[in-house]
Amino acid sequence: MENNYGFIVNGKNITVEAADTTTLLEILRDHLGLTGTKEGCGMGECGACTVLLNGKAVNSCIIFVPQVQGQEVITIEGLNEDPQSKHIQAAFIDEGAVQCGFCTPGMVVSSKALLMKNTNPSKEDIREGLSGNLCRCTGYTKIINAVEEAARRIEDENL
Amino acid sequence: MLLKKRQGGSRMKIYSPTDISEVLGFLEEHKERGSLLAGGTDLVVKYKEESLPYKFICNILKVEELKCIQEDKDNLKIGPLATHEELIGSSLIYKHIPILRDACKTIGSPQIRNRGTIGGNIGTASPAGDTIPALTVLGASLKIISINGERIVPIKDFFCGPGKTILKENEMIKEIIVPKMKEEKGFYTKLGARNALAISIVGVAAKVKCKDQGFEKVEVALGSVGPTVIYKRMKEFEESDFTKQKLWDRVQCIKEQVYPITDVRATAEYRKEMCANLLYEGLSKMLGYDA
Repeated sequence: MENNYGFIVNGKNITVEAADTTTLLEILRDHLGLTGTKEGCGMGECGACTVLLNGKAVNSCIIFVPQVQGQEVITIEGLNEDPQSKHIQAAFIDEGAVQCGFCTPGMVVSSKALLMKNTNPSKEDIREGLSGNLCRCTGYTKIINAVEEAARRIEDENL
Repeated sequence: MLLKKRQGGSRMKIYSPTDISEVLGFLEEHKERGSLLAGGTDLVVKYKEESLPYKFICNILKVEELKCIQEDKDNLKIGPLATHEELIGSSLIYKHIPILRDACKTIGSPQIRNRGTIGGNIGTASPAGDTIPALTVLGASLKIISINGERIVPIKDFFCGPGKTILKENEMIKEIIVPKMKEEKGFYTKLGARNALAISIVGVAAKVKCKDQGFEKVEVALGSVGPTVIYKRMKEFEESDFTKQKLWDRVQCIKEQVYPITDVRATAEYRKEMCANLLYEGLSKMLGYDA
């Protein structure tokens, strides 16, 4: 009972053949080899699987592939050349916001989604914006600092 | 490396119609073997936990007419596919029914709010569903349709138990009708084990008309403290000159009017105490006190 589904991933048109109940996360990792997006809980509660769907942060582990038909998905890989995301990633490194790194792709995608809506977020705004992303290592402080720093650098460069 | 794909429940077939008549046809054909799917933040989780009995799923996210937020002179009319994030960002909601905005802000996380819908929150009918106390205290009604026609049901009459509604097998929610607030104020407060991604331990919504440092009318709806949301018109508060002490003493009466259970999240006793605390905090703010 497999069907073909077509959508856009990181700017490229792709088609996959999959069962209706395959999740977007499974498509990205297993069918497309885009393993930057991680599975943490599989239930939409940890944010490790966060991607942008039509520009909005979503948990890809709880989206069935038929619902992505014709839509636009951007994964952490797709943000590699995005100028804002480069600043986010650099700030994460500079601020010491990466330990095991497992939550980091989801954190970067959520940070990008936050900064798209709010170019000058307060610490409270950042906490709220990242509230769907859990980290078991860092205690969050350096992640919050990193997003503040990224916002500053992006502002400085008028991005 | 061949990875063994984790199986969820048994495979289901998913249809994705674009027109509401196709959705009604689906419901008529499949009845209890089928379910509607909107944002999926409840349904897909249940699927993965292998607790979904359905063979057929109707993905309704492409039905445009279910998505609007509109107003007429007296009411807001909200499509069931409005996401929590859209409701938070809506100037109509902010201006006319801010209690609902308060409620949507407490749900899940940014990722969940970008997908989860108000129709889904109502249809899932969890006793802990956060939009429900807000909609109850706002006096909302639901327009329900099937191939047989339509009917309007006040939200107070919609739920009949945890996860259970009066929807027939071939019916769906077409619209949520919410009267605009007039001189009233209100709030929704949620107590959870954490600030986000928490099922509510207690949820308290209130709509009040203030007068003379007291109240002319107080309506309260409480979630997670009974099999369905509990609505009360609280005449105990309908007098003037509430000092903080008088308010605190008076809110204790709520503890005898709720029927919480003890579960993994909290004991019944704790929930009763928290009803009083949250009601006190909220009503204090309505009177202009710092709680």
